[in-house]
Amino acid sequence: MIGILRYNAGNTGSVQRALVRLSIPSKIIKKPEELERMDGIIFPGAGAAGTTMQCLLETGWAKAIQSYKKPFLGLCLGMQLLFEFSEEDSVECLGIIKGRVIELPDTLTKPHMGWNKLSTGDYAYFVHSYVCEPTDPLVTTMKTAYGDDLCAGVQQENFFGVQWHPEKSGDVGDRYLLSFSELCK
Amino acid sequence: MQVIPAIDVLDGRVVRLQQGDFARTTDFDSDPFALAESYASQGAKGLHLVNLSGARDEQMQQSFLDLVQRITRRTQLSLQVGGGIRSIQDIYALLSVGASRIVLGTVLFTDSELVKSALLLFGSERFIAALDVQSNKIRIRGWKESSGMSLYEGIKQVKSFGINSVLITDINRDGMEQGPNTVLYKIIRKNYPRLNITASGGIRDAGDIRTLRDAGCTSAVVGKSLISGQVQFAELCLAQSDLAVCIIPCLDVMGGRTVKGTKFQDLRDAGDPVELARRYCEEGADELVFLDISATREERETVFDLARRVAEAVNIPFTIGGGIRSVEDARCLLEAGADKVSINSAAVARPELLSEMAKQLGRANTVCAIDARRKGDSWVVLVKGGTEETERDAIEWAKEAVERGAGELLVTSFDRDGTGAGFDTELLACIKQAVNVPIIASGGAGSLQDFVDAAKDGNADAILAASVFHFRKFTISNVKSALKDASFPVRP
Repeated sequence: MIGILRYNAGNTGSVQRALVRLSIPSKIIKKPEELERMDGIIFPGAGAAGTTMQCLLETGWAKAIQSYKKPFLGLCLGMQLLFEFSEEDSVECLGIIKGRVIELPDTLTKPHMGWNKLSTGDYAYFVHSYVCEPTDPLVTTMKTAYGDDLCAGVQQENFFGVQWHPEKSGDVGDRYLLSFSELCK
Repeated sequence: MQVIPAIDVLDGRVVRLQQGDFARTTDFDSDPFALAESYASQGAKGLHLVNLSGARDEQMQQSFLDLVQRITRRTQLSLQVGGGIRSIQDIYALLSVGASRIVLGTVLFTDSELVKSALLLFGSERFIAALDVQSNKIRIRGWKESSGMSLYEGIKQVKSFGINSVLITDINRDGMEQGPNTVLYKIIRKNYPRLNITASGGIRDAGDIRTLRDAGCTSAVVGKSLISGQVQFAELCLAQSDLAVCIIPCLDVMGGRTVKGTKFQDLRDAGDPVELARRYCEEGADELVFLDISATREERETVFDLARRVAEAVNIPFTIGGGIRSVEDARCLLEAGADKVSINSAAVARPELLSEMAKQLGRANTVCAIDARRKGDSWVVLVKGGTEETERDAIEWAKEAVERGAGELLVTSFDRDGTGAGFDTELLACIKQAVNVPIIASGGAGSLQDFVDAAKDGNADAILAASVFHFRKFTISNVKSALKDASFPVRP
């Protein structure tokens, strides 16, 4: 059973429907106490870094995530918050992966929205205006080209993250979610 | 791939040498620091700084070190620096004033002891080997002498030092505006799959950046064409993107059924929306838009169920628009599984709704649909399905909508909608120029060329059509092939 982390106003609808479509058992969890019973967690980020971090701190989610040992998947903002600091709202994040989250330059159309090619050759659906810059290049699992090579995915120990939306990215998205669910067994 | 602007400095001035000849110098009459600052403000992350005075005099000047320090202290630029580096002290001095990487040239072939010591002290990642090639021979000392080595012997030597990044300049192309020697880079890539290859020499425009990317280069150094203003840095950056032009079938729904008419009237039934969604998804649609044109409240309630069913049926994003009046409506649609919510008349009536949606649900989920009709030299905004004209200017409204928080604009030309006469590319281009968010072109798709024109002349990020898809005039893959032939990236 995979838990879909729901904090305050975060939109969990898309991820939940995708897991239903892929026949992956899942449950929306609203309290850190419910973590124990889950085999893994998906954290669909939505909204702004500042308010989300504040919410994670107030509800005790931040501590629970930092000490989590089972597979954890952060999507979009959910991946960005794994880093130390975000330029969006200039906020300190969870600090699990070393590095910063910086704003895309104004010279590009923002948000970076639509289907872009991953370094694997697959096309994935992106919607974001900020991008992760890991200190250790080895944590980057994939990149995409938008103005520059952007970090599109990370992995460090049990923490996984993708900047794109696997719940909306056609076949490659389905494959990512199914593979992640394999780890949660 | 990274585009790196290059600045060549001679006696404190920005210059370009033609073919490395100090007698053929163009002085660009600008200050190197100001130019570096300007590149940084245009979004450059790296800068390639060449010390021509150092190369000429074969020694490092304090004034150059001061310049490097000033740039690294006052900008975010990551500097790669070369020219006239002849000692371990030169390298230490440059790294100490903030240079990120050191470009070694001549010493690679004249002083292997120095190169070995430098790599030992500072690590191989700090170094880039500059290989200046003329007719397959490497030239040194500012291109004046031959090293006696062929390009491949040179690469072999560089690799034996442990350096894995090379900057290869084709001397015959440098400053000649004939385009880079793509064939050369392709061959090197093929023979050395893991080498970091930086292309340099003769790069003119976005097209050259694209071909270098395809040739397997990891970065490109661009000098003259940027300094002369022939091309803008942002243009070059956009060329190194694989972001696909999105093709979006639009499904008008009413009471849970798909309909599409001409000029929003004479509706014809075109089937069950979830079935249609699944079919379009299989045919390669990149996104879907559902426009709810229900008239009654009972009919409108069906849209939440539709969002849930579509989200479970397809694995691509979709937007729902039509009849949304409040943040709560929008929130329910997102919770049901929609990715974006589009508002139109309600935003015109109360623009604050856009701000509220952006703040509470996120900009990326907030789409503003604009129906526009040409009026003289400009366009006016229409509301209520095109039945009512407002006083608003479409371009001004687009700007306001984005300022308030719309993350995307769906721009429909009411003059063209349902006519098949092509998109209003002028309207699209004007709006695209006024705002910095993605634009969906809508209204007027009739031929495959219309889609190419919307991307080329209208600068549209995404293109929406209904009838041509519903009535099988052509398929989504026909559209993608046409775009691909016109060299636009599409998702296969």
